[in-house]
Amino acid sequence: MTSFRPRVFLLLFGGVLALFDAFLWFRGQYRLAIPLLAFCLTLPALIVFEWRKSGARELAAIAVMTGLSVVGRVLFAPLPGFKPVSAVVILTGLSFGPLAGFMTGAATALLSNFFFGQGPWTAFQMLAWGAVGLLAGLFSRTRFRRNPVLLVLLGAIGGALFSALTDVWTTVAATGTFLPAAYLTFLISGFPFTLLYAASNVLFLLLLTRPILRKTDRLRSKYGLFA
Amino acid sequence: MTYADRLHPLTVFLYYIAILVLTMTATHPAALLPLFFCAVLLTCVQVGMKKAISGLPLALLLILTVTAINLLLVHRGAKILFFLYGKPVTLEAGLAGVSSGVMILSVILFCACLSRSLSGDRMVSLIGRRLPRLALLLRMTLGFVPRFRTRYREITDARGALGLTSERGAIQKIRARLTDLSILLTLTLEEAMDQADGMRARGYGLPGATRAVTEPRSKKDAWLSAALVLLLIPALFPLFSGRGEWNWYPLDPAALAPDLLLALSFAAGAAIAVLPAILEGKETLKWHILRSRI
Repeated sequence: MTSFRPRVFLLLFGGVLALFDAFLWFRGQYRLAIPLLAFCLTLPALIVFEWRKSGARELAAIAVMTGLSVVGRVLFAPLPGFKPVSAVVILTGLSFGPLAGFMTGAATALLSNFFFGQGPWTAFQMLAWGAVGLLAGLFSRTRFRRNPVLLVLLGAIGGALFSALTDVWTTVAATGTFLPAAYLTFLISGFPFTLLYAASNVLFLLLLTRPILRKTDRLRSKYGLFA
Repeated sequence: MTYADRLHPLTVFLYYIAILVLTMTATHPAALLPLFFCAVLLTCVQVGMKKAISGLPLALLLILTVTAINLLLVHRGAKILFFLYGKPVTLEAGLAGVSSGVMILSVILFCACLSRSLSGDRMVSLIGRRLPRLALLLRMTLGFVPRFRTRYREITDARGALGLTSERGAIQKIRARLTDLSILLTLTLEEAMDQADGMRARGYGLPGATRAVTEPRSKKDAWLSAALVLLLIPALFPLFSGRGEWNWYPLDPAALAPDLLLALSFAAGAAIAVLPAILEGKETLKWHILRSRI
């Protein structure tokens, strides 16, 4: 019974939230509806995470990776756009699978924003970093894991996705609706930053992939994690 | 200790969520302005006048930027001020921009007030019962963040004492830092495994566990929650009925006609938003009076 209630709660909570979001959409209240939609899109992964019965060791491993990316984001705060977060999230995905990657990304956004300031943008950052971790996780059992081409691609996609999603919030916040022309303007004017995100992701990935994957692989075989 | 610290975290959280929903759905200026004043008042109460005033230039910059964005990007509206590169710049877009800026500023201020009223720790304890695994993940991570820092210092100190970090040159220094980080990760991952085994040994995941964190509910929580529900019904009325919906494009002077029902519901929304400021402010005032007597 105790393990059953959280699932029911999550499904009900998600359902009510999605209905409210649909209603807001119908009313034209995009300023609340769009961030809420981003939050709703992170819910399925949270439900699966809560649903699965994985052990304490897996949880601890994800917590360490999340802690590492939170510390990385805080330490690199003086350099705008130059952050190791996406790289750590991608490496977690490549090491521990899609769900661990998503959770690391989403939890990093949520927790690091306690330092940087919470707001509706948190939902978009959770979704962006979570999705990158999920995408990387899809390759966790393939032999391309250490392929530099894949790493460059993942880093670039990570940077582009982060820009694309946070600019959705900028557009909606500033104009009150989602104007494609305004969105395009934000994307173009933010392009140097997108390049910087992607470049820093690729740089961190090329530097960190070998040492981190070696450790996580060793951990997995030693403790039988994420088998 | 602030007033919010003595309440149940759920009460505080629900108040702020209600305020944020009301602010983000407020389209009518008569609904938005009181909420904005409440946001400013609450910020002043929480951080003090001096600090609040020092944030004024940034706030003005935000409003001006949003207004400029609207003027340049939105070309709808009837009152054309002038043409820029063949595109009309309209009065309505400017007014909508100011209103957008005020709304975003209010949301940012309320969010900042929320994280000041509810620490991350208490926010995590909110989801602890319903989402135990997520709460545990967040809590463990919050524990790892300071641990990373102390461990990192230990590692650099130890390696420095052994004379392993004395290399010259940028590349060698970066390499030394990477080695430090690599040691840090190995050490923390192993430590985490030990921690997980310790948790399992003490019965993590077994049914019938009780919560370590108990947040007592007081009579104040009951009263405040009841007030919130009672005020939310009229406050949400415009959102659900569509009455008093405000359109900037085109601007309709008829929308400004006085409407008692709307005024009452806007007042209810403002009452929800002003309550935290009153409760916190009362405590601050009392604190100052008591302190000056000593």
